[in-house]
Amino acid sequence: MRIGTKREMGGFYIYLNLLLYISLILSSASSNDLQVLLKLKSSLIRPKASGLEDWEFSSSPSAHCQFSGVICDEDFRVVALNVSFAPLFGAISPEIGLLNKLANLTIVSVNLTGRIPTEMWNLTSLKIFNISNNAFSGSFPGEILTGMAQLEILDAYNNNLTGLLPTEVANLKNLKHLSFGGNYFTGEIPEKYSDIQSLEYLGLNANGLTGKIPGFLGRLKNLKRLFLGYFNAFHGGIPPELGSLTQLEILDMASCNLTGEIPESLGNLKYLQQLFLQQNYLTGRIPSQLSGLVSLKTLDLSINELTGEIPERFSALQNITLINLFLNKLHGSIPSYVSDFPHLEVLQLWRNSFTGGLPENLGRNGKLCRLDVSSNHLTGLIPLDLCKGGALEDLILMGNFFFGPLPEELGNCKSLFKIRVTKNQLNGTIPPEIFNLPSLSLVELDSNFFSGELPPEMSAASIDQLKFSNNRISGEIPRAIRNLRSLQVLELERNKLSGEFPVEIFDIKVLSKINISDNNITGEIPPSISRCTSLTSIDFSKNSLSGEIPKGIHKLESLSNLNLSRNQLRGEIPAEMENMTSLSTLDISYNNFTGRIPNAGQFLFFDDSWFNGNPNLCPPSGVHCPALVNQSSGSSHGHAPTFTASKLMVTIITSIMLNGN
Amino acid sequence: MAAPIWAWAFCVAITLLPSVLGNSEGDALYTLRRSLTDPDNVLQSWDPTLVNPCTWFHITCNQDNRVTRVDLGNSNLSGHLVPVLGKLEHLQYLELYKNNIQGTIPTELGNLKSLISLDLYNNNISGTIPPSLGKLKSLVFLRLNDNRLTGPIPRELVGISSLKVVDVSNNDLCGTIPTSGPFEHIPLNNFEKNSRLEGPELLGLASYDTNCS
Repeated sequence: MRIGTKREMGGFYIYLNLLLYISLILSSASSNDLQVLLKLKSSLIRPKASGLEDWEFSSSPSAHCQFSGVICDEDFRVVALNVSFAPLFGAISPEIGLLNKLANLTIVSVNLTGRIPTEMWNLTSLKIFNISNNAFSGSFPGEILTGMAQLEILDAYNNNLTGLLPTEVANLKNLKHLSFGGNYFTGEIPEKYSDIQSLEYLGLNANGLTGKIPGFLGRLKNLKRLFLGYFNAFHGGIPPELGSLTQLEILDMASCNLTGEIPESLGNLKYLQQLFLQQNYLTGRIPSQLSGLVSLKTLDLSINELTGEIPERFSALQNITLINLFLNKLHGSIPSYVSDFPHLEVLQLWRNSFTGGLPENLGRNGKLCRLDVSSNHLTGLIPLDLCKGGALEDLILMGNFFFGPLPEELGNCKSLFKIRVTKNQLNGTIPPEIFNLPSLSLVELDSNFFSGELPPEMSAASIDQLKFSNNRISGEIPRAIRNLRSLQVLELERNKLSGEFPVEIFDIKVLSKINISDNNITGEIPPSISRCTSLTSIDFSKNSLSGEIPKGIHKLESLSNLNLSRNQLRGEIPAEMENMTSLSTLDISYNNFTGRIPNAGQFLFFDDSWFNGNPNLCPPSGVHCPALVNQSSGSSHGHAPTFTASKLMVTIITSIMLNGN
Repeated sequence: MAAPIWAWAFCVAITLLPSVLGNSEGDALYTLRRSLTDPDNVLQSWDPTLVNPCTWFHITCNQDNRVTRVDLGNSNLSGHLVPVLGKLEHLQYLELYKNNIQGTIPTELGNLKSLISLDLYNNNISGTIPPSLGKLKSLVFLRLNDNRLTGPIPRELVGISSLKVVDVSNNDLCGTIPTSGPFEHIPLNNFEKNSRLEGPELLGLASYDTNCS
C-alpha cells in the first residue's frame, strides 16, 4: 500500500495496532484457555480426589488441546469440554466463563457440588450444556441463559437444585432438550415454557413442583417426550390440551397427585409409545378413545381409582407389550383379544374385580413373560399355552376361583421362575416335570385341591420355596427332595402325606423352615436333623411320629420354633436343650414323653401348656417320677421298677397335676 | 439426556411399585438391608418391588401379610440398625444375634408393640439401652449381652410384667441393677461382666446412680 498523507499514516498505524492487538488477543486467549483449564482443574478436583492427570502446565500455547476431554478449534480455543464419570468431587469455578467459544459443556457424574457460576452467562456459543448426575445446589441462575441463543440441550438432571424453575429458558429459540428432573425445584411450571416451540424433550419429573399442570403445554407442537411425574404434587388433573401434542412418544405423569379423569383427547396421540399414569388418584373410566394410541407399547394405569371395564376397542393396540392395570376398581371380563396381541409380554391386572376366565389362547403369541391376575373374581381353567414361546417367568393367579389342573405344559417351561396360585380351586396332580425346571424359584400352591403324589424325581436346584399346604397331596415325601439344594422353606402342612421321613431331607444345607404338620407321617425323626444348622422353625405336629427327640437337636443353634405336638414321640427331653438359647417356642404336648421336664436354661421360660398331654412326663421337681421301663428304648437307666401299686398311684397323681395346669 | 430415562425399560417399569401400597413394612426392612453389609448375601431375596415382604427369606408374616418375625441370627451381617424398624407393629421376634452389627439401638424400637423377643446379643452395638423399650408390654426375651452398651439399665423395663429373660452381661453398663417386678427373678449372672454396674439397687435413702448416664 502507498504511504501517503499523515491521515493515511494514522490509519495505517491504527490498522497495525489493530492487527497487533488481535494477534495478541488470539495468542493470549489460547494461552488463557490453557490457564483457564488449569484453574478449572484445581477447583474441579477436591483434595484427595484424583483425575484429569494429563491436564498439566505446558509452555506450548496449544498443549491444552490435547487434554483429555478437550476439543479445540483452529485458533486453539476450547470448543468442547467433556469430563464425565470420574470421581472429582469439586466444583466449577467462575473461570469457566472465559471459555467463551465453548459449544459443548458436558460434565456428567463427577460428583460436583456448589453453585452453577453466574459467570457462565458469557458462554454465548454454548449448544450443549449437560451437568447431569452431580450435586449442584442452590437455585439455577436463569440469567446465564440470556446470551445462550444457540443452546439446544440443557440437562441438569439429578442434582440438588432448589428454588423456582427459571423463566429465562423460554427465550431459547433453539432449545430441543430441557431436563430439570431429579432436583428439588418448587413452585409451578412457568406459563412461558409454552413459548419454547423447538422443544422435543421436557423433563420436570422428580421435583417438588405444585400447582396445576398448565394446559398451554399442549402448544409445544414438537414435543416428543414429556416427564412430569414422581414426587411432584400437582393439583387438578391431566389437562385435555395434552392431546394436542401430536408428536408425543412418551408421556410419563406417574405419582404426581393427579385427580380427575383420563382425558379422551389423549387418544389422539398416535405416535405415543409409553403412557405412564400410575400411582395417582385418577377416577372414571378408561376412555375408549385411547384405542387411538396405535403405537402404544407400554400402558401403565395401575394404582388409581379407575372404574368400568377394559374398553373393547383396545383390540386396536396391536403394538402393546406391557399392560398394567392393577390396583384399580375395574370389572368385567378380560377381553379375548388380549391373547391376540402379538407382542404382549406383561399383563398385570391384580386387585380389581375382573370376572370370567383367562382368554383360552393367552400365551400363544409366544412372548408372554409375566402374568399376574391375583385377587380378582376370575374362574375357569388355566390356559394351556401360557408358556408357548418359552418366555413365561411369573405365573401369579392367587386369590381367584380358577379350577382344573395346572397344565402339564408348564413342566416344559424352562423360563419359569415363580408359580403362585394359592387360594383357588385347582385340582389334579402337580405336573412332575415342574420339579425339574432349571429357573424355578418359588412354587406356592397352598389352599387348593391338589391331589396325587409328589414325583419320585426332582432336580430343580434353584427352587427355594415350596409351599403346598392345605391340599390333598398323598404319598410319601420323595427322597429326591434332597436334590433341591437351594430349598429354604418347605411347607407341606395339612395334606395327606404318609410314609416316613426321608432321611436325606436334612442334607439340604440351607433349609430354614420345615412344616409338615397335620399329615400322616410315621417313623422317627432322623438324627441327621442336627446337621441342618440353618433351621429356624420346625413343625412336625399332628402326625404319627414315633421314637425320640434326636440327642443332637441342641446343635440347631438358630432354632427358634420347635413344634412336635400331637405325635407318638417318647423318651426323655434331652437336657442339652436347656442351652438352646434361640428356642422361644417348644411345643411337645400330646406325646408320650417321660422323665422330668428340664428346669434350667431356656426351659424356665416355656409355657407349661407346651408339655400337656404327656402322662408320664413329670414336672421338674416335686412328685417322685415313675421309673422308666421301656423295653426298646436305650434312654432308660434300666433300674428295677418300684412296686406296681405305688407306681400306679404316682402316675395318677402326676397326670392330675399336669392336666390341671 | 435421554439415556437415564430410557434406562426405564418396561421390565423396570413393571417393578416400579410404590410405597403407597401399604408396603411400608417392606420399605422399612429394605432400609435395614441398605444399612447392613451382607457378605453372605442372606438378604438377596429382599426385593422391595414386591407387594409385601412375605416371600422374602428370613421374614415370616401372619395371615394378613404383616411381618411377625425377622430371623437373621448368625448371618455374618455388619452395619447398623435403622429407626424405621419401629414401624413393624406386628413384629414379634427380632432375631439379629451373633452378627457384627454396630451403631446404637434406635429408640424407635420402643414402638414395636407386639414384640415378644428382642435378641441383639453378640454384636458390636454401642450407646445406651433406650428407655423407650419400656413400652414393649409383650416382651418376654430381652437379650442384649455381649455388646458394647453403656449407660444405665432403664428403670422403665421394670414395668414389663411379661419379661422373663433379661441378659445384659458383657457390656459396659453402669448404675444399679433393678430388683423389682420381673427383675425379681432374673439371675444375677445375667448382669455380670459390666465393670461399672454396681450390684442390685437397694431401695432406700442411698442414691446409687451417680456418674451414670
